[in-house]
Amino acid sequence: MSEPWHADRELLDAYARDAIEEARAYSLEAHLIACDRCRRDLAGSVDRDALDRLWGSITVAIDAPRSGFVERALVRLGLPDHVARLVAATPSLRLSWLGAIVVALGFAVVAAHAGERGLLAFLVVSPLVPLAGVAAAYGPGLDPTYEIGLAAPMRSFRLLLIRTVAVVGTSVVLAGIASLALPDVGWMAVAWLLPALGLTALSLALSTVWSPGWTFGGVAFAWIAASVVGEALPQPHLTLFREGAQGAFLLLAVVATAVLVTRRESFDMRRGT
Amino acid sequence: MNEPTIQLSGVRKSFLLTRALDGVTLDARAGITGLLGPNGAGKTTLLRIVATILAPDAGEVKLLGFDPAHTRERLAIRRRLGYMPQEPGFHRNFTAFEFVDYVAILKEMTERRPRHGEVRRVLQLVGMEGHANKKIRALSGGMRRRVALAQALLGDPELLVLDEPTAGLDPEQRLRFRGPVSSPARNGRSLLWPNQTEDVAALCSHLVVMHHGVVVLDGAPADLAAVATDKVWLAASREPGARLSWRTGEGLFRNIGDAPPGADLVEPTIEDGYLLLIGDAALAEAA
Repeated sequence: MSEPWHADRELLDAYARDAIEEARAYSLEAHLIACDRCRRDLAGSVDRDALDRLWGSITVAIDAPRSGFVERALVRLGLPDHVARLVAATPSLRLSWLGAIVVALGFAVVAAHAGERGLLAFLVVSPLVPLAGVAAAYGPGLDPTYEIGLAAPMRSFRLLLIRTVAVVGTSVVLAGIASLALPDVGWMAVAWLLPALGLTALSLALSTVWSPGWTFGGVAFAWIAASVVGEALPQPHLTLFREGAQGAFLLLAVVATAVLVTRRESFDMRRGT
Repeated sequence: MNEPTIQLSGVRKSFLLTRALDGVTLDARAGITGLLGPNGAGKTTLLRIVATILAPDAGEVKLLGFDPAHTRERLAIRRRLGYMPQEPGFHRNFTAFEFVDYVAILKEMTERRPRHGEVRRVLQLVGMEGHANKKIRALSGGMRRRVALAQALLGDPELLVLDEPTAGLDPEQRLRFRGPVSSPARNGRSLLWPNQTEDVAALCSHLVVMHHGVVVLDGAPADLAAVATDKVWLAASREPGARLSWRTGEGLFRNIGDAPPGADLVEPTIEDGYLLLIGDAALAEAA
């Protein structure tokens, strides 16, 4: 009886590298199914790293964790998955927070239907929505992973910007929807928009110097005080929201953003303790 | 060559009313450096400076050869750094996997496939691979600490800064912690580990004791035990010469201080040395 045929090293190496023609590969595979010895020899020709990489990509594909609701929605909107994760970790984009905002805006809309003072309430409350959201989006005591994030190479200013855009965007959409439910007040329905941008930018710029908590609280207080005083003075109704004031808020937003960008390094380190 | 990975010289830091660091000078080389000291000794402030998140008021800091005061060099350090704060916060709605994945993104691992592989690797290192898909809020305190350690191990950092990582853990859980941070794979890497004396004895090659914002001892663990040489003795009662004494399980009193002649001297432990040192520093300050 003749010695049975076995594949030589050269052939097995070529097969492992996928460097033989298809017909030979088929016949070799047919032999491998039947021949224990050649299967063992083949194992020595296979690049372990390549196999590990392949196995790794299989586990990643079948074992990928299912992400949360906000994150999936953001990815569906076309955001890269890593940016979606950064946004999803924003405390003020949690459903509980958004729910509170909807309730606050709902009350303001109901008030606006009751008369001019109600409209004032709506216009004062709406800019506070993005202001509070941005205040809660990032910083010591608010972002639970603030300290770990600071020590990581990603620039804190970038994280702040990503979250600010997400929060301001969401707030503007919610307040915008609320504006649609207002009685017919013309463009006054969106007179909160520029104050919202101006106050948020101002707070961020000031928070490069003072602690975010005090800054955002102070700006919110000043805003409410100014609107109350503005109505008490013998001036036309809603002065704070008319054309001249709108220009001032736009200017404030631009200047404050410029200051913020110039002082962006200050977010890179912990202040205070 | 064994260049210092952490070099501090005359580092000072004050907050509104307190002076947290009052001229700290120390070199730490590859290996595990233990940091001991009572509460308020300035350990956390020191660790925050070494983690590049707090700037000192004065003094020089060099980490892995870089100066964290310069933006570019600070970034270079942060790319080689793993940090676990004393009270690591979590996004409680995230799963363990999502949380570590989130930190991996902050560590500039934007490509999903290798990032997920790395997240899986560190979760496995701390023995949490079986709980990867559990929400953080459903995990026990010990498990959360392991997740926090996992994020610090991402990317196999050259400099690992852990602030009291095993505080509040039971002995078995503490043992689990020692594995990942003391593995031979970490040779040539540096770790700052402030903790209970028993962890120091088990893990550290280098030891720094701080008290009231200054370094009161810098050496090997044996040096700390040596502080109490000839100063620990057993007796039937609390002796007048003892600065500290307590009743042991055998019913005898362990006295630490200036031993009377003929005392039954025993081999000092690291803890004896520590107590003596901190007591001494406190007495010197009061004088």
